[in-house]
Amino acid sequence: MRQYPPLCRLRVSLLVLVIVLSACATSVKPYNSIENVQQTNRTDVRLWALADKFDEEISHTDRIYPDMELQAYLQGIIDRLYPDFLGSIRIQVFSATSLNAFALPNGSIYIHTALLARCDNEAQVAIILGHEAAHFVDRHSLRRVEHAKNSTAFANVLTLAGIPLAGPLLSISSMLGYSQKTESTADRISYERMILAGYDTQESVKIFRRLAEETKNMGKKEPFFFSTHPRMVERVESLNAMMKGNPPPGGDIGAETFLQKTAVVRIASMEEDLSMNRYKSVILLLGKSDSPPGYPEYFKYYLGEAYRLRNNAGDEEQALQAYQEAVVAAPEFAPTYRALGLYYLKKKDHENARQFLETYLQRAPDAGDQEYIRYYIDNLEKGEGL
Amino acid sequence: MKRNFLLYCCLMQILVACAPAPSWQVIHETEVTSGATYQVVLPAGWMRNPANKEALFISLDGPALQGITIQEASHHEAFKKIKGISTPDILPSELAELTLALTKNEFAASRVVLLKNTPALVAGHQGFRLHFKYETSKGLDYEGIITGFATSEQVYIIKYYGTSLHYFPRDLPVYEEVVQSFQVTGE
Amino acid sequence: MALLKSKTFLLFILLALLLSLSACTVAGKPSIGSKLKGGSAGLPSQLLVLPVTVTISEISAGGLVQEDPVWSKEGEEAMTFALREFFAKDPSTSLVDMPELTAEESELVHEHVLLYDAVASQAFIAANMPAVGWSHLTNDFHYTLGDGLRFLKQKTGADAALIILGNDSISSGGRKTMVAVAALMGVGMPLGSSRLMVGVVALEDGDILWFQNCYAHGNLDLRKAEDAVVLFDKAMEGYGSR
Repeated sequence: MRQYPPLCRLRVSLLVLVIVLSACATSVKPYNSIENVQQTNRTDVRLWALADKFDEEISHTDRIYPDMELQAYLQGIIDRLYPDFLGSIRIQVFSATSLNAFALPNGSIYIHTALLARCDNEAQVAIILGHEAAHFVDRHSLRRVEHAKNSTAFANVLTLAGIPLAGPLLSISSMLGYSQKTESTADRISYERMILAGYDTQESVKIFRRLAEETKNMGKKEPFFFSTHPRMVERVESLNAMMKGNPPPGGDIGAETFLQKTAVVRIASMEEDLSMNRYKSVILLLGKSDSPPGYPEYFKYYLGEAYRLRNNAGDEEQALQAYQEAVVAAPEFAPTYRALGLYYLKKKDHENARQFLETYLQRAPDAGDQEYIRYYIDNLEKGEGL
Repeated sequence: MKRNFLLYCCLMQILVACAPAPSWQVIHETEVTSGATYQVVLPAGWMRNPANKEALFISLDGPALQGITIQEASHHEAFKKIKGISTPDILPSELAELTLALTKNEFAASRVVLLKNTPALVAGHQGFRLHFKYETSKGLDYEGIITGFATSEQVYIIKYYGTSLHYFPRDLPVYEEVVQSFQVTGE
Repeated sequence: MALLKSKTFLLFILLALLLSLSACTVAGKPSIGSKLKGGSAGLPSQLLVLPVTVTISEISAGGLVQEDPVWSKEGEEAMTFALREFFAKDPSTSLVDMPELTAEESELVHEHVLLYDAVASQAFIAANMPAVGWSHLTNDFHYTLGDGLRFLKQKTGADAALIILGNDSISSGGRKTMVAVAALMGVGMPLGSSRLMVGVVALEDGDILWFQNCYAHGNLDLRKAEDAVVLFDKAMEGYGSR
């Protein structure tokens, strides 16, 4: 590329910079209340229309978790946090195994089933929902798009002016910095809303700590509130700092109702994890306690399944023990008998295998895998085993 | 001499890098083809993609519309991507479970929905058959069938997919014939 | 003379030439389904116009691409105008409007349009990229959507459906300035592009009778009827001379 005299480059760059940035100059004000929730410029109109399109398209798929009672309950939490925005923030539960929640610029919020299943009570889900709603109220989508347009334009200007390294570095750092700031703002808004709504803010630190631990143990980089978010440990620290400056007066935790409303989604989330061979997260969830809150008496069956899938040294014995405990705790739960039957089948203990597999079919005559089980039983009857 | 040798090496690297990818090849007549430890009859008129080194992949109208894949792998390698463990004594239901898990992970964004999971006899071995559906990000519906089994040494997977509209049901009989023709060699 | 030798002036001329070119690149030749190889006897006389889909986005100064649903709607209206203008000149073909459909029927039509997108893309490769290895199919062009749209023939009496899929990316003011300045510096940056896929599909069996892809780089705005006409006419080149 031909090198132009520095002064010429600088003049051109400054001229372009003035033109580009003046065209792009924006000032995005947050919504103060439902009265001023509206689209204020063309970018905003576009973002809303795209969000509406997403809502429409997703409603025709099976990704929305079909539990209207749960949805109504979560909507109640949002409305309690944001009473001044009644009707403009709408929550839906999204079937997904990743730990995430997201907000759209039109006020739609989606929380993944997996993330919901990690919460122990209403206060913990309140910090998450409050955070996402803050993105809408503070209009972070619009700010991010406007800033992206400006950042990348500025980066291009610098590159054209013959400063190739500064442009990309500047655009990357400003994008990262902006996102961290944005997420911290959302945390702060959510925290303040929790206090006003009467929730116990200590629970916010607990859920963030739990998610941080799961991140670390699963070996993931940053799987939730995702990639451009500040690290969970830093967020725990900043929440602690907020609590020091603004001591929480205790407040509602709402464990009982929450666990009752989310009982089914917890199991569904765990079954989905196991169906994708994600045994690690199940072991993390269930392996530490003899009575993890919100899980049924037969939870040891799922723990057994996770050990079986992991199949490390000693896992076979752990799985057997878990199944045996599940049978004692919940003798009516059929799948445990299948698990035990298959365990003994592989151990060539044909008598126990047949007994447990037949018990399974008696208790679950319409089981989806009955063809497999009948095949195994037929082979056992013929004395053929596997 | 050393400089010339280095120059020739660089030139070779460039030539190799510039070489076009091998194009699809027509299966002119019903062809018996062999993998490392298997043999299968491929349908005439379909196209084979030699660029795919991990599996044998054929299609009639193009990979966006339908395709059949045949894979063989050792027990150790078969489910490595999902940290899954297959063993010589793995049950057909367990093999189906791992295959479904692998498929769900590969199609994570498309949300695989299982329609049916049944035992199946393949090449004289007791295996499994999965029938599932998924949709692309644009919303186009696909269906798939995976048939598989294991021997003491290897895991064999024969997959079929096609658009739910027209292509999947139309070419399903061809897939069934491919599965019927599958044999493990050296048994 | 000094001016003519000036590098800046030459760059301006080059830029002007590039920007003024309004060529619509027809990507490949039209792929005519095997039914039409016999001549005009295979052409449909009643053509059902499926809902036109045009997606229009804006490219910002920094290259950020954002779809604008309002612009997309304008693009669909402009393209609908263009197709009606085209067929108004063809007395042998009459256009049929979409009838009222149930929710299930609408979903089925939508799914077939998505299938058309996949089939046409595959057929395009077969017809225009011989190195990939699928060109033998052009001797026996049999790409089809299946008979799932037959109910539309029963409902409307039309022989075939016209499917139009388009997209356009329009540069913002800032982007155009950036491109001009970059050109002065000798750096090329894309302004935007327009693309149109047009297909005629038999309703009885779903066979693709005709399809064509057409591209234009940077100087068409599909929100405008006159530009939509330019692109559509180019995409339908050869349809009349069957």
